[in-house]
Amino acid sequence: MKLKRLYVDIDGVVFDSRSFIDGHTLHISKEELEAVAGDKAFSTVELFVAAPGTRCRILNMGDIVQPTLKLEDEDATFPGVVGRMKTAGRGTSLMLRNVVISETAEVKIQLPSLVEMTELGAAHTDFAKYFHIVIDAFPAEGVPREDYLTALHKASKKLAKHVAAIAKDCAPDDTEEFTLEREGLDGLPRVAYLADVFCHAPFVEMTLYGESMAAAMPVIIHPNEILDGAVTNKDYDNSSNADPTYVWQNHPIILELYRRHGVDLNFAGVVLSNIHHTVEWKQRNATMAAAMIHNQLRADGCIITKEGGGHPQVDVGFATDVLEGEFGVRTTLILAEFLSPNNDARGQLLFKSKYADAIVSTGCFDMVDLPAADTAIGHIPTLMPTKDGTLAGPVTINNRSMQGCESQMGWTRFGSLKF
Amino acid sequence: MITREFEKAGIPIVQWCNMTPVAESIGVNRLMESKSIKYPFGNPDVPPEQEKLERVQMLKKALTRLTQP
Amino acid sequence: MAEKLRVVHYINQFFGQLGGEDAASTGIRTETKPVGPGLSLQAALGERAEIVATIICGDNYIAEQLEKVTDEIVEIIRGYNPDMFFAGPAFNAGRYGVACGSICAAVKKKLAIPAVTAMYAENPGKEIYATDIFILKAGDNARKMADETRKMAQFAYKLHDGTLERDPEKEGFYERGWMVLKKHEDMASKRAVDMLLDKLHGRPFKTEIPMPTEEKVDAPAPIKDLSAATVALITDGALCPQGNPDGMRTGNSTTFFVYSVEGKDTLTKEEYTCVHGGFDTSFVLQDPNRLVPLDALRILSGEGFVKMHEAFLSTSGLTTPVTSSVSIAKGMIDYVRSHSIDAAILTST
Repeated sequence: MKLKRLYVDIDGVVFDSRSFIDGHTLHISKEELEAVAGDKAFSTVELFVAAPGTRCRILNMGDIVQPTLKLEDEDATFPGVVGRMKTAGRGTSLMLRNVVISETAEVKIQLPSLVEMTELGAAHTDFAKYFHIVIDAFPAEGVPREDYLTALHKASKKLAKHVAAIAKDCAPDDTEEFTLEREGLDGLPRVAYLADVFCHAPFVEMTLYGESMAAAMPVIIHPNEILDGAVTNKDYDNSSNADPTYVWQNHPIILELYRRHGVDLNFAGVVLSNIHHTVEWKQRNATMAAAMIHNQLRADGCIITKEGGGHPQVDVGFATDVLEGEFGVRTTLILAEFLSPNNDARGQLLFKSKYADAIVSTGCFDMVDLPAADTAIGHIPTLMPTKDGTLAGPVTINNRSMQGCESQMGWTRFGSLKF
Repeated sequence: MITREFEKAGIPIVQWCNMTPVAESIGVNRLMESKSIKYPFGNPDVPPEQEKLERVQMLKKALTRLTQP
Repeated sequence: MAEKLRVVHYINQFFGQLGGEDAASTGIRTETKPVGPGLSLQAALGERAEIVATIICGDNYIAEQLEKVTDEIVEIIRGYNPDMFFAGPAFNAGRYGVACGSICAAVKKKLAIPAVTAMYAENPGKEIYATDIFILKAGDNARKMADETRKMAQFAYKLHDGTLERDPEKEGFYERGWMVLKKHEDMASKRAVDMLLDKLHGRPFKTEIPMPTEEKVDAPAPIKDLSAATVALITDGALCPQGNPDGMRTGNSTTFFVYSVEGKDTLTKEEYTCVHGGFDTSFVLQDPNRLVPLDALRILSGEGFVKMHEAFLSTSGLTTPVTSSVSIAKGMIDYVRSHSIDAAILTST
C-alpha cells in the first residue's frame, strides 16, 4: 500500500463570486459551497471564514476536517461517509494545508468545545493557526437531533472534498509518500500503535469506513487508511474528549512512527479497539487487541492511546497488563490528566498496573481567561457564562474546552510537571 | 477512597460496584461486582416482584461477605 | 524606611510554655509578642518583619473541634492584619502538625497571605495538608529549632516576594502532589515514541505520570454475628430526596448527607432522585432501591438476619478530589462511630 499526498498551502481565504486559488489565496463562492453543504435536515446553512490572529471565537465545535480529494477516484473520498466503499490509503490524495472545514453545532452539546482564533488561542492549540471555513447550519423544523447531527457530520466531509478539488490545477507546494515497504528494517525494534476509541453512545463515537465501532471487536488496520480518510470523528457530546477528523488525517503517532520507520524502528502496524462500558467487554477487547499486536503485528513495543473520559483508562490498563505480562510486548501510554479537578497527583489514574511505568501526559487542568472576542461564530453559548452575557464576551474556561489543547492522541505539546 | 478510609479505620465495609478494576487499583479488600453500573442492586429484565427477591439475595451475599475475612 | 511586615505566629501549649500533656486542653490565648520558638523566628526574620502576635492553643483543644477552632483562630489572625503567618515548627508531634496544617490552609484560603509551617516527614499533618499548603521539611526534634525557623523565615520571604521556585528539592518543601501544566518542546506523540524506544533498549527513562503506590490496608476484622450487627447503607451514587433539598452536587463533592429511612419499607421514585452526573441514571430513577437497597435491607432486618441503621449516607463520587474524598470518608466514619453502626455496605457506580 503506497499513499502519496500532495499539499497545496493556503495563506488566505476570501469569499468571491467564484471558487479558485490565486497564488496561495483560496477564493470561495459562498453560494456554491453553501449548496454543497446543504441538506434537507437543515433549514438554513451559512458559511463563515475565521482567520488566524483575529479576535474570532468559533463556538460549539463539531468536527474539523482537512480538505482532501482522492485524485484518481474522487468518488471514493471519505469512503463510507460521503464516498463509496473502497480501501483508503493508496494512490494520490490532494490536500490543502492551513485551512480546515469546521462545524459549529446549532444544538446543545453536553461538553462543548470552542476554538479561539487569537494568539492566546494559538498558544493552546494549532487549530487557532489555520483558516476555518465554518459550516453554520440550523436544524429544519421537526428534524430530530440525530438527523441534524448526521447531516452536519457529512456536510463537512462533502465540503472538504469540494474545497480540495478547487486546487486540482495548482502545482503542489509539497508532497509526502507513505509506505511500509522499505529496505533496512532488519534488527530494528517492531513498534505498533493501539488506538482505543470511544464509541459509547450515538454522537459520542467515531466511524471506521462510515460505521461506528460501538459493537465492534478490535481490528487491524493499515496506517495509510487512517491518514487517508477511513476514520472520522463523530463525537459531538463529549467534543474535547475525542480528536477531530483532522487529527486522524494527520495522526501524530502514525506520522512519528512513519518518520522513524527504517531509522530507529520498524512500524509494525495499527490496531483500533473500542472502549466498552462493561468490564467483560473491556477485557475481551483489550485481550484480543493485545493478541493481534503480538501474533499478527509481531510487535516488540506498543504505544497506546485512548479517547473518552475516566473509565477508558481501565481498558488501557488491561491492554498493558496483557501485552507486557503475557506477551512481553513493552508499552508506553499517553494519557490526559483530567480526573482530578484540583490536579492532585494522587487522583489522575483510575487503574493500577505494575507494567504501566511509562506514561506520557498530554496535560492537566488549567483555567484560561479569554478576553472578549470581536465576533462569535455559532449561537450556542459556552458552558461557563461569559462575564457580559454575550456570546463573544470575556469568559474563564477550562483549558480542556479548547479543542485540540490536550489531544489524547498526542497532537499537543502540553504535558505536566509534578511539584 | 471511601472504602479505603473505612478499612483504615477498622470498620468492616463491602464495596458493591461495577467498575471493580478501579476499586482494585485502590486496594479494596471486600469488593463485590454488580451486574451493571446502571442498576447495581437490580435486574430490570425480570418483573418487579422477582427483582426484589433477587435484590434480597444480592444484599444477603454482600452482608455475608462482612462475616468473612 | 518601609514599614515592617506584620507577622502572626501559632504555637501549641508546650512551645507556649504552658505545660505538656497536662495543658493540652488549654483554649486559645494570644500574646502581642514572640513567644518560645517565636524568639528564634523573630531573629531569623531580622529587621524586615515583626511578630505582632503569637497565638497559643492546646493540642487537644483544637484537635477535638478542628474546623471550629481553626475558624476562630483565623478570625483572631485576621484582626492583626498580618502580611505573613507561621505555624510551628511541629516536628513529629501529630496533633500539633495537624493543627498547623489546618490553620495554614485556612489562612491561605481566607487571608491569601503566605502561610508557612514545617514538620517531620512522618507527621500526619504532612500527609493531609501537603497538597493544600507548602510544608517545609523539618527534623523530628526541637534541638534544631534555630535551623528550622531560619528556613521558615527565608521561605516565607520568597513566597512574599514571588521569588520561590517550584522545585521541592531545591526549596526544601514536601512535594505538593499536584500536577502543573507544562508546555514541552516536543509533541506528546514524539515523547511517547522516545520513551518507548528507551524502554525497549533498556535505557533509563522517566514516566511523566507516576503510578501511585498505595500501601496495602488490612481488611477490618469480620463481623462475628450478623444478627447482632447494625449495618448502614452508603452510596456515592448521589441518591437524594426529590428536589435535592440539600443541594447535593452532581460531582466534585465536598460533603455527604444523611437521609432517614425511619418507617420506610422502600425507596419510591416519587420521593427520591439521583443527581450523579457520570452514569445513566434512568434505571435508578425508576427504582431507587436499585442503588440503595433499602427494601431488601428492611426485609432482612425483619427476618432477624441483620440489624439496620435507620438512615442512609449519600454523596456523589464523580471527579471528587482525593482530599475531599478523604474528608468525606472521615466524616462518614465519625457518623458511623457515633451512631453505634458496626459495618457498612457501599454501593458505588
